[in-house]
Amino acid sequence: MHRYIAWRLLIAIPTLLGVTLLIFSMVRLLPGDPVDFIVAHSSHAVALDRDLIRRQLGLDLPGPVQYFHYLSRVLRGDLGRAIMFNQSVSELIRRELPYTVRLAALAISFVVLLGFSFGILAALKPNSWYDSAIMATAVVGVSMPDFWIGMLFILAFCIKLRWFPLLGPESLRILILPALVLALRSTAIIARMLRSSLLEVMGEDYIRTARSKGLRERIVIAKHALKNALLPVLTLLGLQLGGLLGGTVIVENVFARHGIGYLAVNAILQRDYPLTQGIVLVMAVVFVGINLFIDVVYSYVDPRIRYG
Amino acid sequence: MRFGLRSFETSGKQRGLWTDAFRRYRRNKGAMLGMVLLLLIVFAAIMAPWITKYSPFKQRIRDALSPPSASHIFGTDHLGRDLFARIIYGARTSLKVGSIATGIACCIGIPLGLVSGYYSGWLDTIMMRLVDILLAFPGMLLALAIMAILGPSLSNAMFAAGVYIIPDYVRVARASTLAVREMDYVASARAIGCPSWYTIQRHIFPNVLLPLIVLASLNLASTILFVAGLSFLGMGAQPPTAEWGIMLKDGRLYLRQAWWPAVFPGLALLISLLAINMVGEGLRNALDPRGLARGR
Amino acid sequence: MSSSNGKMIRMSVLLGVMLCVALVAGPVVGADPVEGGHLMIAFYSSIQDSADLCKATAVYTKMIVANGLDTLIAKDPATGQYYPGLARSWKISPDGLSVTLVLREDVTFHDGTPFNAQAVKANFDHIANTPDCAGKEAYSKLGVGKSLAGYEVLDEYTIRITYNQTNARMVENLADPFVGAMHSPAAFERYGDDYGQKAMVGTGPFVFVEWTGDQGKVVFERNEDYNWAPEFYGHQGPAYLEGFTVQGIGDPTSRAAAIEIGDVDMAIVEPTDFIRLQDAAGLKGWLQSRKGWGDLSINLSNPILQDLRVRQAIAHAIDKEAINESPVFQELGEIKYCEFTEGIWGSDPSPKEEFGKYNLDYDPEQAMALLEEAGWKDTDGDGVREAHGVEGVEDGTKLHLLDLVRDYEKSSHEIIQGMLSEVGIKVEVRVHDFATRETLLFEGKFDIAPWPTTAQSFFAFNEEMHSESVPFYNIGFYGNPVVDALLDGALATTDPELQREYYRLVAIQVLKDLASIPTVKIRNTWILKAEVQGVKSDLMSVGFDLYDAWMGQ
Repeated sequence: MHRYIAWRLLIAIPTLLGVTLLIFSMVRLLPGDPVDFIVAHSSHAVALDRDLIRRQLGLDLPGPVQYFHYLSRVLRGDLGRAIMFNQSVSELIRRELPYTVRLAALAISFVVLLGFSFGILAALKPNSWYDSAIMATAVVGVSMPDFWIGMLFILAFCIKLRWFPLLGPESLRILILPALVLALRSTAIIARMLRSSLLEVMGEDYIRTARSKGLRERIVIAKHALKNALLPVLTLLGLQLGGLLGGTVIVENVFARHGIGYLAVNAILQRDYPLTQGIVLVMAVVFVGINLFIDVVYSYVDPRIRYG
Repeated sequence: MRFGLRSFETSGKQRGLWTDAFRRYRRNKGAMLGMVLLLLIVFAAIMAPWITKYSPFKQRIRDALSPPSASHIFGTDHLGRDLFARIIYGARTSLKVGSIATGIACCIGIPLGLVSGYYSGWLDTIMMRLVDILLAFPGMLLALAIMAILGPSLSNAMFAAGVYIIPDYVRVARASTLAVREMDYVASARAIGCPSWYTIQRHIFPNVLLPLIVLASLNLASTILFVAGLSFLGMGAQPPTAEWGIMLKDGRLYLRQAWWPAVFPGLALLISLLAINMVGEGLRNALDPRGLARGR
Repeated sequence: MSSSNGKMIRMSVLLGVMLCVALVAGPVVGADPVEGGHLMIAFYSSIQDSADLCKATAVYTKMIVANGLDTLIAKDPATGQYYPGLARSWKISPDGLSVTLVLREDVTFHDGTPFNAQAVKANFDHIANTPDCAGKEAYSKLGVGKSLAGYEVLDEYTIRITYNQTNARMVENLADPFVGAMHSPAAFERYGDDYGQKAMVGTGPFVFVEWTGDQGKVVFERNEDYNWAPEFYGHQGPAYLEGFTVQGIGDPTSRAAAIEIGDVDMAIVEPTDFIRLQDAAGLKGWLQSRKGWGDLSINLSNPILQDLRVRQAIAHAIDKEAINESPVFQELGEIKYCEFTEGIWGSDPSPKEEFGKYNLDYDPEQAMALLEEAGWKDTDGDGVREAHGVEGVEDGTKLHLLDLVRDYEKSSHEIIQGMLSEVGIKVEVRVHDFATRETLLFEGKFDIAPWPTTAQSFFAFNEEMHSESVPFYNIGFYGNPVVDALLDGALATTDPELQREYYRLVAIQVLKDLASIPTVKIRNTWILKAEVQGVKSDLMSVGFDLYDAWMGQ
C-alpha cells in the first residue's frame, strides 16, 4: 500500500517538472526577446524596468541555468512580480485562492450530492419516466452554456426573486448560485456515468445472488452495487474537478466574484504574463495534487489497482 | 486508460460493423433528433446568405432593440442589426471554429497516438509523459495560458482550444492501436514485411477510427462552448464578428430593456450543443459501446 | 397638495434644464442633514491606480482621492469662484509672475504632523523630483521645466511661487488636486515608493484607510478633527458620513443590480439601466455632464489621415444624432459641436449655436465622393477601399484604421465602425485598459481614438492642441501655427473675455482642420438611493464630493 502511494508520488514529480518546464518555455518559444514581449504586451504604463524583468526572468543566463533558477524560485514560493498591480504574484494568488477554493468545494459537493442522487434514482428503474426525465435533463445540462445560464439565474434569483444576494460579504448564501452553475455540467456527467455504471454492475452475478437471497432492492444497490459502480465514477470525479477549476474562470466573471478565475481573466486581458504564468502553475499543481489524492483513495477502495 | 479495451475484437469485417452501427444509431431516437437538428444548423450556416436577406453587420441604429416582428423575426440588437441574420452567421462562425479546433487536435494528436501505440517502448513512454503534463492543466487553463501569450482573438481562441484537446486524441488513438496491434491481420502484415507506415495507415488507422469519430463529435461541442465562453469574456471574437458568445456579452447589457438579444443567441448555442452532443452520444452507443472515447 | 405638486413639477423641469451643468445630486431642500452612515459606491473596476496624485493616471483616481485632500486654493465647482482653502489668502504680483500664499495655521495632516509652508514646498519637490511623476498631469500643471521658475518659503506660513512668464492658469492649478492638494511630507518619507499604494495622508474631510487595487476597493473614514472646510460648502466641521467605500465592479450588469437590490447606496450605471432605475421606487438618477473637451482624435502622423479629404469623409460618415439615439446612449449623451463640452463653453450661446455651422453634416454620399477624389476606391468589391495613387501610400493599401478604445467606449465605437464601413472604411476597434491605451496613444500607435479630456476650464485646451504638447496630450500630432499663437495668447492675458475669444477661434480652426471630430460625449449616469443627499460634483464634474453628503432615514 505504502509502496503504491510512494510510487504515485514519485511519478507525479516528473509531471510537475514537465509542467514547470512547459510554462517556463512557453514565452521563450516565441521569436524575439521575451522582455520585449512582456513590456510590449503588458498593461501598465507604470514604469517597467526592462533590466529588472530580465534579471527576474534570469534571461541573462544560459537556458538550462535559467530554468533551474526559475525552478528554485518557484520551490521557494516566489512566483515573480505581477505587472498589473506591481505586487508579488504569490501574494495575489494567496489572496484570491480562498474564494475559488470555497466556490469549487461547494460546487463539488453539489456534484456529488446531486449527481449521485439523480444517478441512483435513474438506475433504480431504468427506462421509467423519471429515468428518461433525468437523462434528458442531463443531456441538456451537459450542453448548457454556463455563462448564459449564469446570467439568467442572476436575473431570476438575485434580481427578480431576490432569493440570493449578488454582492456582499462571503457567505454560504452568496456562494450557492455560482456553485450551482459551476456544478451543472459535472453533475450531469456524473449522474449519467453512475447510472450506466450501476446498470452494468446490476447485471453481474453477485448482484443476482444477492437478489435471490431475497435482499431488498435498496439494500442491494446500497451495499453491493454502489460500491463497485463507484470506482469508475471516482476517476471521472477527479477529471471533473479539473473542469470545475477551469470553469471558475467563467463563473467568477459572470457572478462578479473574486477568485483565481477573475484574476486570470484580468491578467490575460491586460497581458500580464508573469501573473498568468503563476496562476496556471498554481492551478496545475493543485490539480495534480487532487488527482494524486483521488488515486490514493481509489487504491484503498479497489485493492486490484495497487499492482496495476 | 482505465476503461475496457475489449472493443472491436470482432473487427476485420468492416462493412458489417458499419451496417450494425448504422442500425444501432437509427434505433436511437435522441440521436436521430440530434442529427436532424445538426443537419438543419449546418444547412442554415452554409446557406446563410440565401436564408436571410439581412447582413449580419448592417447597422440600423434607429431600429435598435426592436422586438421580434414579421420583418425581424428575432428582433434587432443594440446596434439595430438583424438578430436572426447574426445568429445564422454565428452558426457559421461556431461550426467553423469547432471544426478547425477539433481538426487541429486530430491532425496532431492522432498520428502521435498511432505512432506511440504502434512502436511502444521509450517513444511511447515519452509521449505518455508529455500527455500527462498537458493533462495536468485543469480544465481550460492551458488554453488560457496560450491565450495570454497570443492575445485575444477568435483564431487564437480556436488554436488554444485545439491544443487543449490534443491529449485526448493521443490517448484514444494510442489505446485503440494497442488493442489492435497484436491482432492476427496486423501481425501478419508485419510478418510479410509491410513497412510500418503502410501497416499503420492501412490496417491500424481504419480500426481505431471509430472511437476517434466519437471523440471528435463530442469535442466539437466542447470547443464551440469554450470559444463562445472566451468571446463572452472578451478574449475571443472581436466586434463586429457575428459570434454567439460576443452577442450574449452585448445582449446581457440590455437584458432588462430587451430580452431577445440575450436569449436567442443563448438558445442557438444551447440547441447546437444539444444537437452535437446527442449525435455524439448516438455515435458512441453505435460505434464505441465500451466507452473508449470520452471527451472532456 | 396641488401646489406642492406643481412645485415638484417645476422643480423637475428646472432640474431637467440644469442637466447641462454640474448638478447637485438630489434636492437638498427640506430635511436637515443627519450624521452617520457609511456610503457604499459601486464604480468601474479599473481603479488600479496610485493614490499619489502625481503618479496617478486616471481622472477617477483624482476624484476619489480628492475627498481625502484639501487644495491650497478652493474652487466652487458650481460657480467657478475661488475661495480660501489651505491658503488663507493669495496675492498675485503686479507683473503677474508670482503668487504669494498665506497659509492657515490650524491645519494638521491625518498623521498628526502640522501643515505649513515647508510642507507645501515638500509637495512641490515631490512632484518635481519623483521619477514616476515626470510627464504626468501634476508635473505639467506645476509647470516643472517650463513656466515654473521656483518656489520659496518666506516664513512658516508663507510661500511664494514664481513663474518665468505670465501664467493665467496659476490660480486654477493651485485649486486642482493634482497640484494644489497637500500630502503629508512625513508620509512621503515613511512610505517611500509605496506611498499611494499602501497609504495616502492628506488634510481632507476623509482619511484614507485602504486601497486594494486588485480587489477594486477604496475605503475612507471620516476625519473627526476636520475644521477647515472652504466656505462655499454647506457646513463646517467634520463630514456627516462616517466614511465611504468605493467598490470596483467591472461588470455593468452587476453594478446596476447592486444598486437595484440595495447592496450599495450609489452606483455608476449604463444609460440603459439609468433609464430604467431613475424613476424606480426609492432610487433617483443623477446625470453628470463631464467638463472638458476632446473627442474622436485623429493621428495626423499617419499619411492616410494627413489628407483633409479623408478626415472630412470620416466626419461626413458619422451620424451624431443616430449615435445619441442608440441604446448605447439612450439620448443621454451630449452631442458635440466643437471640442468643448457645454460645461466648459457654457450655454449662452450654446456650442451648437456657436459652432454648429462649422460642423460637417451627416452625408455618406459626400463622404464617398471625397474618398474617391482622394484616390481611395474599392475595386476588388470587398467593401473596403484601396489606395490608387494616394500620395505617401503604397497602391493597394486598404483603408483600414485602428481605433483604440476603453471598455466602456466599445459599444459607441462599434457604431462608428458600422458607419465608416458604410462608406468603405474598415475600422478595427481594439479594447484596452486605461493605462495600456494611454501608453499606446502616446506612442502614436493608433489611427483614431476617443480622447475625451476632463478639465475645469478652457486652459487645458493648450495641452491638447498646442504643437508643443506632442505627444502629451496632443496625441494626434496636430500643429497649426495660428492655433499655437492663439493658445499662447490666451494664457498670456488675464482678460476672461479675450481668453474666451481666443479659445473660440481655436475651436473653429480645429473644426476646419478636423484634427479631432466632434461626436457624442458620454454623461456619467449615476443612480442613488433616495435617502442619499448632498452629493456634489467635483471640479471637472466626473466624480463626487462627499463632504456635504448625508444619508436620511
